[in-house]
Amino acid sequence: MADDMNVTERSNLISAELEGKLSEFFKKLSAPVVLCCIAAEDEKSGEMQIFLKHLVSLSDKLTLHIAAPGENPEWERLFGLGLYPATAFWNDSGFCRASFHGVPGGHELSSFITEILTAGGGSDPLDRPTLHDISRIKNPIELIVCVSLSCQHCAKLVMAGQRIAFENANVTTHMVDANLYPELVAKYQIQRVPVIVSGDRILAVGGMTLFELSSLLRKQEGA
Amino acid sequence: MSLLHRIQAPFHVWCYQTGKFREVSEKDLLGHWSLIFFYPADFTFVCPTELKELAELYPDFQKENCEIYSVSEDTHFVHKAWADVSATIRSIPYPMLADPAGVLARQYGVLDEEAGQAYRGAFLLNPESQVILYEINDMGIGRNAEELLRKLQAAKFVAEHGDQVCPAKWHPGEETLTPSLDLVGAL
Repeated sequence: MADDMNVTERSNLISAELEGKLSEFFKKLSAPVVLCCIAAEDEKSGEMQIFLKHLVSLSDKLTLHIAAPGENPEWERLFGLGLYPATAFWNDSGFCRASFHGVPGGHELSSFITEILTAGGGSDPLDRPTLHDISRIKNPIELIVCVSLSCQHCAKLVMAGQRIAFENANVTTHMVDANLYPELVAKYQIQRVPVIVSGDRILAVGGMTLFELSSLLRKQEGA
Repeated sequence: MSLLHRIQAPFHVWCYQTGKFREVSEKDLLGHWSLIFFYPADFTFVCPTELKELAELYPDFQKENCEIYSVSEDTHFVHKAWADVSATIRSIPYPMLADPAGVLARQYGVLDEEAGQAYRGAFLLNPESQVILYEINDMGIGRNAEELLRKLQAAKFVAEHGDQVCPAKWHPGEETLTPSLDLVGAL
């Protein structure tokens, strides 16, 4: 439940049908998950706050904290990026190294919910070879995955990045709905998605499986 | 019948390019992207506009590793005569192919046999000389050089990245899409 405020408004992004499905998904949670959102004064930040309050009301395993930009320096450092609304996830082990920038509509609701399930112990475990592969990423790397909400390749890539980040503390990933941040689109001349930006340069373009992304990250460091 | 994915058939023509004549064959089209740009005839009015726009964007096409070949049913001598009297044509940097026998125009299905002129066809070929996209307009309908450049860039992108990307049309202020849970756990 949102501990900072009461649910006073239903999000128009969560229909009654979707609410039922989400409740079913959240039954898989075996541990609490804390959602932390940096929300500005703009329309999308308002939309996101309503969405999150509605979402966490569907499970007693979910808690929500909201702060204004600059209010929580630690959050800004870990996932702010100056791109609001920004939402990240904590579980009993701490920061899960994944954040969302924008409102997770379209296919990105899938990646958002998958991240909650993973953080709360509700996702299927990965097989040993995959875990071993992910564990071989030795150097810290931060990924910004630029997406469009209507792109199915994007959501799968976001999920792959999230899971790698969850399993390997060297990796942090941020999903960014590029449509909300025209300065980002202009800077990297993004015309197609998904695009992965890392270290202020485009690292890759196009959908990838978890294995392909993991391999790419290892190649980056010559592992 | 569609011409998509058709491989360039053998041909041999003369061309005029920046004051010189030279021969061009299908082998010259290999190893880089090619835009085959048909127009009805030299010494006409709509054509120079299109050819000029292409000339202005020529550095951008070159940056994308694409050569432009304009083609009409005139001889290379007529191309030169046109360049001699027109500063616009004289400034065209790409090869202007001469197809007086209609070989290329027939290969691409753009020859108006009665008029002996080519319809306004534009054909983009990949480095393997395979037709990737094309448009054919009737005589009076001009083409957009910027749009052709955009299509070239899109074709190159798909060639390099396959179908694992989605085109992005950014519309600031757009409403958030209806959420979908179809992909939950789809790793």
